[in-house]
Amino acid sequence: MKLSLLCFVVSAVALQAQQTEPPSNEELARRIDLLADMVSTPAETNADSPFSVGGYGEITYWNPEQANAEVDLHRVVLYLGYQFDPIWSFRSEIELEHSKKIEVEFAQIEAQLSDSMHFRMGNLLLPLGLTNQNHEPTSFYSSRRPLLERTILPTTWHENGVGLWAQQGNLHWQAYVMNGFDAANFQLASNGLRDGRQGGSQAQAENWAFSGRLDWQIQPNMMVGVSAYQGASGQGNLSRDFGVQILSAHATANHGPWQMRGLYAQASVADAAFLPTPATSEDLRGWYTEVAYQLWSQSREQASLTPFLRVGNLDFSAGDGMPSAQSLIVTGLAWKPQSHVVFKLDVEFQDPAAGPNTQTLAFTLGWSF
Amino acid sequence: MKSFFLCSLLFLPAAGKVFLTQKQALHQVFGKQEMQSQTHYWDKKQREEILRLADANQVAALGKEFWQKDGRSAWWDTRKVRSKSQSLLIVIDPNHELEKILVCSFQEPLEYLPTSKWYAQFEGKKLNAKLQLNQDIHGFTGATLTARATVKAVREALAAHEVAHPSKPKSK
Repeated sequence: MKLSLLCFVVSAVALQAQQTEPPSNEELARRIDLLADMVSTPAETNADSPFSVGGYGEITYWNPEQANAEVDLHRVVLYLGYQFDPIWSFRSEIELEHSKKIEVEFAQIEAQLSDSMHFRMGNLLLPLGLTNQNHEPTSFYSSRRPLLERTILPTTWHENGVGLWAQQGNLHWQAYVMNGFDAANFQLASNGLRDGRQGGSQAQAENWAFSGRLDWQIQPNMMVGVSAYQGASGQGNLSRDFGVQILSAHATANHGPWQMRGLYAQASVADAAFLPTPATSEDLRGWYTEVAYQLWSQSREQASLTPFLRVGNLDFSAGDGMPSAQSLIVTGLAWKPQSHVVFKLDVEFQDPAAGPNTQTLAFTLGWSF
Repeated sequence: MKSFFLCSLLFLPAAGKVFLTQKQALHQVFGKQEMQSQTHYWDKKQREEILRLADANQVAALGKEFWQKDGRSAWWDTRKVRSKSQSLLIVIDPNHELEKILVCSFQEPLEYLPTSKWYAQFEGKKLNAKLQLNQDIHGFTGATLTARATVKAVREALAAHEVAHPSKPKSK
């Protein structure tokens, strides 16, 4: 580093000398000070390191109308990556959840096969929906992730597998084979597909699943995409295969301070009536659309204040003829005093087809770096 | 000549995902025509002015500019995105408008690299208060940190260009 600095000073000074009058000693001393400042800044010294370090976390308070309030250090996550050479790299996230449970959110080896094609293997995030692969609290406005993406697309959803992804022009696609759900744990009627996740931890691997995604960047400010999942979930322990199919479509758009996004997802579990926890319907369905307006922003700190409104609908027993859908409205404010820190305050209204309406007040402090 | 070579080497991006070397990028911008370069050592007053124009907390202590007699300039910018760097060549036309951005290296995972269409939206933009994300520049889903770093780089390059060449149109 010192040699590089010396070379730089010598070359820069020599170049300058060719063009103009020789600088004075005082001017040379000032320039050396400037260069020393640049070399010693962490941003510069880290630029050549093969390590990448990052992280995010969130602490959430929520106060449901019909239950006791709770405050939870929901997650603290450390991101660690290592670039072995220009082709091979390692990336991971290790999460401390509810300040007591340690979990790997993903851990993968990646190789760049060509300018556009990449190979990925390990514990991988499934490529469905808008939140699962971009789940840092600074990347969405509500205190908690959308309910649709905690149940039918159950973030954070990660399993062991292998696949490819590519960016070709304005198309981005991903395709993976991963261990499937474990149907023995499904609680479809109350929690969607969430409890069937295995997380890659001593995962049953008798049944595997395919997942894929295609995104089309229509314009710099507009993207549409679809994602899909198909695979059995009996894992050899149950009398049936319990095939799971998920189809999802999503879109994002922004125009000036306006930001919009929408997501639709439907899932089915074959023979759901024969699950260890039987369900009256094989079908689950949900959607939401969200609009946000950046009311105030400041370039220097990249600070912003953004009110938002999300409306949606969720049905864990679609098609069984019974009133089971619930409509959801979430509205609130997200304030970023700078781009890595967010304070969120919102209220969520749930209006189930059967049963009383509920509302929940929530506040989250989130960070990512 | 030797000293210029050394200087260029030190401004080259680190090994990793290098799409264009500095020399290749300059060739794309200026072709075979004669080109000159200058390292600007900003004094305190100039840095304050760049900070003010860029509306930034921090700007580089020096700037590397390449230019041709036709008045077009290109500024080299290397900065951190998340924990790794990207290197851009930011081309500015004689009217102080952004002509184009060349992404020369990107050390973060490539899925955080926006499409060429996203970079194209900067073309023709001038330095003003609206040149920021979610105003004149649209964000890019899944690559927010890259978008922020790029907007910062462009604002700083345009501000540095304004300080280095306050009269317009520029002629050297």
